[in-house]
Amino acid sequence: MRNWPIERPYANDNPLYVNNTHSININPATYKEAFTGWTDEYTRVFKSNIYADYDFGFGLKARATYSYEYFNWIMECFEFTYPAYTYDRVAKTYNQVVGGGNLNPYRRTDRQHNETKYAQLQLNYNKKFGKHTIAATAAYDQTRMDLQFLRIHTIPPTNYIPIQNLVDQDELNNQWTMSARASYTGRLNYNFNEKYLLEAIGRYDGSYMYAKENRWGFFPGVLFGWRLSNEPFFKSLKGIFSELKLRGSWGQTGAESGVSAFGYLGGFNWSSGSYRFNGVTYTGIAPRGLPVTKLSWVTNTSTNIGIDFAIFNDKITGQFDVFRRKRTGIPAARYDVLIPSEVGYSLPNENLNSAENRGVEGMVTYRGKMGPVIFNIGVNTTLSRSKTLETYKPRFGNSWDEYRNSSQGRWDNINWGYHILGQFQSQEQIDDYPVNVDGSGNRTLLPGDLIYEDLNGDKIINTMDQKPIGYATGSNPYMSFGLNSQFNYKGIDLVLVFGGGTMQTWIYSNELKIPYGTNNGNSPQWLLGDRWHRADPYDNTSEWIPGYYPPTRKDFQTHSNFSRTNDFYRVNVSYLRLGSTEIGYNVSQKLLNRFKLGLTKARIYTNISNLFSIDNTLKFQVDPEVSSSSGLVYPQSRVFNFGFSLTF
Amino acid sequence: MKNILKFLIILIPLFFFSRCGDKLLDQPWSTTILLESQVWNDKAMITDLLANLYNRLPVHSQINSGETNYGCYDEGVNTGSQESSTDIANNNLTTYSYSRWTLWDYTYIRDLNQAIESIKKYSSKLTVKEKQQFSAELRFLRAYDYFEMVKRMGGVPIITTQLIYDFSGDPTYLRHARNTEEEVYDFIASELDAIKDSVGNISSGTPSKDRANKYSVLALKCRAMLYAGSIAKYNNLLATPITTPGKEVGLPAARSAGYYQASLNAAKEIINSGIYSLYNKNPNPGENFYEMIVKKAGNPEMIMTTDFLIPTRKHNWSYHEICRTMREDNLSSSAINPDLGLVEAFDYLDGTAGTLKGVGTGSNTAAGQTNWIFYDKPNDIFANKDARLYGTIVYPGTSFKGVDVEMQAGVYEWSASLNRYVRYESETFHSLYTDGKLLTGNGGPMRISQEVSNTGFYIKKFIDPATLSSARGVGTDIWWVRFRYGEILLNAAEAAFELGGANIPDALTYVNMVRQRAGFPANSLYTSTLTLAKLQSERRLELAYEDHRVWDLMRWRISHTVWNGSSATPSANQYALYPYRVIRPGHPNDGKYVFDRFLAPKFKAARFFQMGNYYSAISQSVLDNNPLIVKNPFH
Amino acid sequence: MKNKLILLAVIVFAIFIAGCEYDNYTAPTSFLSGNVVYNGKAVGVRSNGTQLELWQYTWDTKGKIARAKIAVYIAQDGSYSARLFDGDYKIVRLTGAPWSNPNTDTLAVTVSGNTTYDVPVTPFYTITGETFTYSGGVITSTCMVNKVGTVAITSLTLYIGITNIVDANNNAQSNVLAAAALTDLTTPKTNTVTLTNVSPTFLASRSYVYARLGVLSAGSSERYYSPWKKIMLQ
Repeated sequence: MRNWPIERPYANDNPLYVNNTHSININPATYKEAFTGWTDEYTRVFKSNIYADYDFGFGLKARATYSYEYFNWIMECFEFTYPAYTYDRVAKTYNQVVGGGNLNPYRRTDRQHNETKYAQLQLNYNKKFGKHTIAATAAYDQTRMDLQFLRIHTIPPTNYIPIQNLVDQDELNNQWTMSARASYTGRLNYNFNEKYLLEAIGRYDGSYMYAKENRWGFFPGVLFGWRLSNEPFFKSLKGIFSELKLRGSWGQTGAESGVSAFGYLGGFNWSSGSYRFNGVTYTGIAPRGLPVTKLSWVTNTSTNIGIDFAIFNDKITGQFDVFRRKRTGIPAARYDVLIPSEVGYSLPNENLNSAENRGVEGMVTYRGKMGPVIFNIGVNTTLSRSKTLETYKPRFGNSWDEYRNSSQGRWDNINWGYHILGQFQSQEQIDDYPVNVDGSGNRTLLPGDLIYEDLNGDKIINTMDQKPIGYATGSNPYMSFGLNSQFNYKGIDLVLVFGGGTMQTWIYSNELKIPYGTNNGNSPQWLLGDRWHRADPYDNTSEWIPGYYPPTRKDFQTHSNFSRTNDFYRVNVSYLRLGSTEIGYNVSQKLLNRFKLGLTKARIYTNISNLFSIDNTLKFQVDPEVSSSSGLVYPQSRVFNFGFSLTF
Repeated sequence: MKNILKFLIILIPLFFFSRCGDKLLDQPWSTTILLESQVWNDKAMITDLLANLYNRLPVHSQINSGETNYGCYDEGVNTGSQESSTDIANNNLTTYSYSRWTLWDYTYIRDLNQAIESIKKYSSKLTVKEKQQFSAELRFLRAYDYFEMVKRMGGVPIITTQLIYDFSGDPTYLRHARNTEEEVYDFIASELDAIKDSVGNISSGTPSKDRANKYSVLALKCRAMLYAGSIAKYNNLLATPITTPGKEVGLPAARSAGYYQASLNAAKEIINSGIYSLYNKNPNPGENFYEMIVKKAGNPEMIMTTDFLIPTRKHNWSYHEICRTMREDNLSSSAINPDLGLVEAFDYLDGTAGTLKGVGTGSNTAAGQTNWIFYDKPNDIFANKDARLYGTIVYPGTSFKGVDVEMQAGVYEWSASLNRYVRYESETFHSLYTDGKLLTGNGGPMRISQEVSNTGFYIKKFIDPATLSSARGVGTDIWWVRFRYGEILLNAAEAAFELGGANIPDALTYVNMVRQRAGFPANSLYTSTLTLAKLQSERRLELAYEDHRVWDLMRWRISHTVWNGSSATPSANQYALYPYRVIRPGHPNDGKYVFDRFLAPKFKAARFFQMGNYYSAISQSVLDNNPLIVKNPFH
Repeated sequence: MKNKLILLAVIVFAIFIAGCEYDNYTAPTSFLSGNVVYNGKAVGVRSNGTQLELWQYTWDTKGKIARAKIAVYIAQDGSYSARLFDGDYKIVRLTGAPWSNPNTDTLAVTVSGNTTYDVPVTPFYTITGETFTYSGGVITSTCMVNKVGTVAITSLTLYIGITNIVDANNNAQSNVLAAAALTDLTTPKTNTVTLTNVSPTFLASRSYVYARLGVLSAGSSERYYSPWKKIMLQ
């Protein structure tokens, strides 16, 4: 977005001379390997698995697995120096710009290798006694990963030789890290007559991150399923319900969070800061502060209840689930006791807070036949939102502080900002307006600028006028839905898959909000086109012509329109995307036989992903699933596939 | 049986390669963590710890950190760059936040106290002298940190031991109230006196410039006592002195003389030692002033610096600030552009005030051109000014690093029909006008473009003359000046002036030494012309860009009048001076240069310093954690 | 069965609706408002320049500590307004304002629904009887300056601005009467401003400007202001 449409990549459009644009490093003419340089990355991975199975015979099997992975990554990059030119139209010469182009060559090597070793021993028991089926599993597994990283940066003296010399060296960065985890797992399944299903699981996980006393965590889980449709009392409803199953589960898993490796050690950190004493640079060591010993696993507890059903002779099938994922033990400081700041440290984190994510999801599929066309259509939807349940002994200074900052039992990711009442319609309205909107007595405002809502009536716009203005940004939409459909007509099949979401917020900023961006670059046409402006740009007494966006100014990125997060530049995104379209044709058996090639099946198809999406971000020319506030992210691509498959 | 053997044969070696369970997860060593036992008895490790602690001394605007702060006062305007899109907000600071200068870093104090106590307790393998020396150096850092805190916050709790929480549930024994401002300054003075002789770091008569030694201790004391003296005097001269009932802020007026005397004594001890002198190796006073900063070898003026070394420890001041014309990288340069107000503060060598003569208003009308003087060369307008201007700021018509700066904003062409000159400017570097000669130079200045001067000036101080030092790949290792002899002379001059009477001749001697190095004739100031305003101006010009300006204005209690938030007060606003080439063929003025003066185009809001900024706000969490802490006034 | 399905659909929809709001906390709805008054008249101040502190002193329950104030800025016409939850509050008049500051004096007020409360202050100086006239490119103001405290007066300034928010920091032109001209306060004081026509404000060619008077004393760095007046120029 930094390129200006008024600058040409080549001086006088002569490809021998790269134009010295206002910012040479984004001039697309420099994006050539021979001109600018190259970056090569090689990843080589060796994975090996060894396993052995042994069957004891009476339903018990043992399996041992060992896996070794070696990951090697090399990155070499070499940026050259290059000249840039301007064209003198009078003298008809090309002049190399002194100090232009790139004078800053760069040569860097990164090398990393990881070794991951994984071992597992598993015992399985399966047995059927009449109508009862039992299965049991016990396992132990452990992982260890060692990583080494080395980076060398030199300032290359030529544009040709990539070999690095000590004389030119500028940076050396070396890291060694390791991680290790182990766990014991057990599972028991019981099944009676395919009607009652029960499963119990337990995990005992250990992680290298935590102090010895708190290293291990126990995470159990239980599942049940009840096939109501197989029950004797259900026979009467069998006509409608061909299948009805009730299921539920409760389970826990552990997550590592809130601690860095070796947080339980005190001492000093090597290489923190540096200083020059008497002509020599000394590597600094920094005191680490209090060790974190009481922290342990964060527990995720998932509970859900669901129904699977099939009615009308399997014509309609579906599932509904209500679920809740609760995270407990989120790290926070235990501050029943307030330590004075003058002590110089705060109490280390312990597992104290909790949050949850709760929602519903459902799916219904209809299978039908309409004349020669056989089809099935399924819709599904998920609605889920996360909430913080409790934080440890929160403290607030007054009731406003509590309202503004508390997260007890509150939805997460509340988007605080200012509400915009409208836009000023005339200069006189601005001059007479009693609220100090821009903090400078409204002297920087023009017709078309945003009027902030003064929520508390004190005629000043400050943080007391903030209110929630949106859902989470950059997070999954609270509600997502989809539709899968498949149609079959003779040999032709058509598959359409829609996906969509709503209840998500996108606040656009940077280049999409501030004319000419924050870095003297370009702006989208819709921002510069549809705006308030004077009828005659050279006459500042001509009348104002209204538009949507405020008048464009250059070099005023901190103007009140932009400096506060507000809901003028906010979009609550909803979209429905045709994610996948596939049309295929199965050649009929008769035709196949005619070819006498021995083909049993032949199918040709075309598949288009992301054919179109219906959304409310179209006018910004931004994909609805892009959450970046400047929109500078590759959108989802549209891929056209053509193929065929032959079976002999 | 055979099968089970086969199975076991495969099984055993698998576990040979790895440890099990807890043993696997227990790593008693880490590749990046040192244990306490490995540090306290090893001199090299303690020196590394000192390196980390020196590096953490508080910073405000320094060449390797906090550079954006240079553009927040009256030393410069921010021109914006593709890399730091938020700095431009410094041109639109409608007020200074009450917590702008807040510093309450007790983690650093704790690390210093822990080091002092641990050396005393654990360093059995060090000699008594070595332990004393390390201890003294740590106490210097601690006194320096308390000085940085007291000049921002007023009185703070003086903690000299490690406070350790016993996890009993009752922290009341850890609560310390704020000491009074007076107690903190006295503590700093007593600490520095106590360590002065044991801090060492003087080898064969040459004091270290990087590590604390007797003279840097004296220099810190000199500065701290001068600050205390002026706050004691000027705070009480305010119509309503700023004070709290418990005296956490506000020094008693009666102590002012004592503080000034202590400052003068410390300065005289440095001056009379004969070790330091003003750098005067270049006969050209302008070049000399510039070289005083950038030439490290045999520099007799520096008392204490924060030094750098390529390639292991370098910074990017040149990359950010170098004049656009000679930038060596394809990004950045010219981040802070000096303000015309600072340029005009440099007096002429004959003693007349520094306001530039013959400057237009930039209105592109006949009225705006009536005052014009037509100069033959662009640097003629700056002729005979204080040589420190040349050493601090790059101005039109000069060259730097062997390259002519080529600063020209545009042209004024005579229009016979309008009977005045008409202005043309461009935003393209080295653009040519229709007459085939320069329109806008490679060094700008330009109203709109980024990474080029917005005010018509560039910073020269601290810019490295070495080739490619302004390229990111190479970097620069120019040091940051903490204490130098020039400042000590000005401290002494001010202290002597404030004490008055028999001290005035000393004040004159010291200030005239500094002025003579700046190109003024000897004894340029006499008793009748020596005023506080003159000394304040000398400090501003001598110590520009060395992180003194905002603290000096605060201790004289004039920052709220100098930066009073009004667009009508020149000292609160930043101005630009644009040079133009005159085009009037056949007329003697053709080819001469004229200058326009106007508000810097990117400067949006006047500087506004309020009474509540003299002592910054203490954050709410500090107040919550310790109910004994009293808030500063006006918050 | 059909009914059960419909019921299920309704429940799902209800859950869906319930999750629709941005925030599940209720915002405060009670307003505490009023004026800062002296002698029954609101005191004019600089916009965004002076504040009152609100403390919720009965907040110390369940471990909550009333240590944080709510900063209430006073608008330029002397009015203030805060959006709060019902409860007991105390108002503290903060230093840095054009009135003498009785530090220990706090005012208790109970907020319940929309509550009004006028805060009495004692300014150092007041302006009364102000008039603004315009003729021939010159704006003239006259007023009486009254001394209330014991502090010396510093200046009386007429500010001309381009929006209705006019004060020492937001003005295009001004005219200052220094202390020397203000020794005798029994006679009316006159300020005049000749409107200039320079960029960027071009005052003389506007259709209207705003005028306001401000008096500065040695007691504070903030001024006492008269109400502003819109003056039509054409």
